[in-house]
Amino acid sequence: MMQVRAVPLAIGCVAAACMAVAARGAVTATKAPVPAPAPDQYQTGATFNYDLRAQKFAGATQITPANVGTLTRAWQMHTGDVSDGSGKLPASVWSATPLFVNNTLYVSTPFYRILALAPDTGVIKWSYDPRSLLTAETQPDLKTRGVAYWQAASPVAGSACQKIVYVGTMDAKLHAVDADRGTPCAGFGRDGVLDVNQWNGPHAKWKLSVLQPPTVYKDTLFIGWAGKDWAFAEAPAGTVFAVDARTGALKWTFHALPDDIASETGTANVWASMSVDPDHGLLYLPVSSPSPNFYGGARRAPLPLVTAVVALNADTGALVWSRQLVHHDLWDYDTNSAPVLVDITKDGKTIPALVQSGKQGFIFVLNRLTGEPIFPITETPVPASDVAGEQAAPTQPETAVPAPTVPDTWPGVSTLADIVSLGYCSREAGRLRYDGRFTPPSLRGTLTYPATAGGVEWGGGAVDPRTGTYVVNSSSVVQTYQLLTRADYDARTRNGTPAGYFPMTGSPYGYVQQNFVNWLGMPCWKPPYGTLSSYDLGTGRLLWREPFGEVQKWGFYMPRSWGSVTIGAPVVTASGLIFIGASMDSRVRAIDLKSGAVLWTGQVDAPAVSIPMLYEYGGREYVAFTAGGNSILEPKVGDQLVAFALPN
Amino acid sequence: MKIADIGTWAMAVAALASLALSAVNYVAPDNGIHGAAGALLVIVSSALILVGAVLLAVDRSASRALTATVAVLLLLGILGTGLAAYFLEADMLVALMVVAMAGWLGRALAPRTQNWEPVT
Repeated sequence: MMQVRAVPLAIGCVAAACMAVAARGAVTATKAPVPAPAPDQYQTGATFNYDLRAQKFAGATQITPANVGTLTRAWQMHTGDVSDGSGKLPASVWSATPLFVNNTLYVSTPFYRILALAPDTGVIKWSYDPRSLLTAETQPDLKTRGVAYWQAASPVAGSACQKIVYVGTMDAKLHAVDADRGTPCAGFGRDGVLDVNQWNGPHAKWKLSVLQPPTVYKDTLFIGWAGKDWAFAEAPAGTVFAVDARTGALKWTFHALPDDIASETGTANVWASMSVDPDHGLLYLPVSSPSPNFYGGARRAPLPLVTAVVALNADTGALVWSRQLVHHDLWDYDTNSAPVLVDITKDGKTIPALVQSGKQGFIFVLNRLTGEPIFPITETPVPASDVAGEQAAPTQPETAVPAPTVPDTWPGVSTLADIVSLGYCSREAGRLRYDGRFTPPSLRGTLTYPATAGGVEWGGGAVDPRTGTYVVNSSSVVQTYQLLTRADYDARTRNGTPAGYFPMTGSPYGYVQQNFVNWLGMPCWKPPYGTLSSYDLGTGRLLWREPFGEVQKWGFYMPRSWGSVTIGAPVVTASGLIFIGASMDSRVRAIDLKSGAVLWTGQVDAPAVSIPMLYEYGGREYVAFTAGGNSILEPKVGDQLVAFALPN
Repeated sequence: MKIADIGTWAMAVAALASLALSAVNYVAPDNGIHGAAGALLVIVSSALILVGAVLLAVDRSASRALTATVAVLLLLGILGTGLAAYFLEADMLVALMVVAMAGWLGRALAPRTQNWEPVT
């Protein structure tokens, strides 16, 4: 791939040149636009999380628990946009939800191309190449979580760009492309490209990245961005931008950080997806942690909107309510997924609820109109910091109902890993500081559980809104968090920065983070490493919890009771199934919603670290997975988009 | 044909089938283990079982010590390959190793003077 900036031309280029630039993205021939029903506010398949409420619920009834065992591959295609990182390009991470809307399957690739596919064959209708920068900027990998889709409520016949597909890039260029033709929408930004970095500040130490597709509501795009809040103490403040879907014109912005603290910290960005309550016009933001991630001595002022869930007026950006989920975050416990919005019945009353999962393993169930807890949240005393200059929060919000996705204490030393390592695991566990949940990072090293890898990652959970059954996958990962004096950090990184080292430049400490594993790479903690859980939201009761997925090493599958670390999310169907990839073993599964039993397994090329898309086209239901891998799980990448269906 | 010979040839045939199947597993996509070191290991171990079984079947002049040594190595190979196949979740390979194991037991437990006459 050529590494060419998307909009290299200066203002004043002649019209012909500009037109050439605008047109260069279109690669393949176009087809006549196909009439399609306009997406309503609840339409599933048109957004990253299926619908604006992030329910990930598909009304599919054709594929059932009784017949899912016969599911076979209907089609597959390989995008060609894949890198294992061994060449000039960074490794690729493909976490895109393929959108089904406008009678088309739309997906972006880790090289930021948009593909429009025939839903029944996977044949490419058109493709668009933004010719984006393909280097590691804020992220170590080339990464995309998909595209966004907008459609005019009253389309103008014969006019282009009445339906638009958007893709963001590593350098935060947001491209707008006609959904029928694959050509740039010249009226959006400059020649179809909006440079989000034009608003980067006040500490523009790195370029913002738009890897999560914007959230689309009415005629507005809500844009968050990814950064690297471990690199500097001062960093760009985590602004959310609301822009016009047609033009890219800025409507409003939201800052989670007070202006007067901008010299001391930064980020608190929204890098994950958002959700919208169309009935009440509320936008919900999962706000991440402030910089630097693991030392807060210079940011002692209350920052109530960070590591929080925040509700805004979607039209104005005005704050409606917020609830902080981690005080004075020292663990990188970003609020990391769109809250799931669902009405639940509790004690005979229907309550407009919001379900927020998180890395720390708690599932907070709130009234989505007020932010008040539906199940009790208690401020629990937590360990103090022993690091000079640090002052950890004395309490943290915890909830016991629904039961956390991970245990309250770390799982303990794995006997097998300890024997293989001749006692290394138990010696280290004894040496490291561990005083329970929220033990702060320390100079001697802290055993952290759950670690920043989760708990629940950016996919969040899924819900059957008819029954209030909520399903979520979760990881059980132990990491060591260690602060290093600046002199120690500099000495260790003098000849290059090893993996796991984060500078936190501008603070008194650097930082190193490692998975707690032995010399063979075996986890030093007891399994399971990943689970899938089901809850009754009306009572908060855990219905079932099963180890989920399998770990595979050299081709050998470890026992199923061990489960797998997961990235990705489930989808729930009206017929009583859960479809999910997410595991390390490059398999995708259908699971019985009632029992948690695995009913069907399909093999794919790489871990399907994405949300599957379930759709009906031509009278036949399909479930599509992007299988692209993620280096956090294991160094296995892919470029496969595969759809399964019942036999004809 | 003696029961011991039947057992020996059963091991050889099972190993040959295992060799072929594991080779297919190694190169064919969509099975979860293609290109994996574990799949390669099973190819090698199946080949070694095949060689050992054929050796026992055709070389009747070998010393008792060599025969016993090969038999023990075959047992270890069959058990190890079966275990590897189990963790590779390659059910057909597991089944073939069960056949090989039955062959090994047949050879080991068969009366040395007994002949088996086919019914005609």
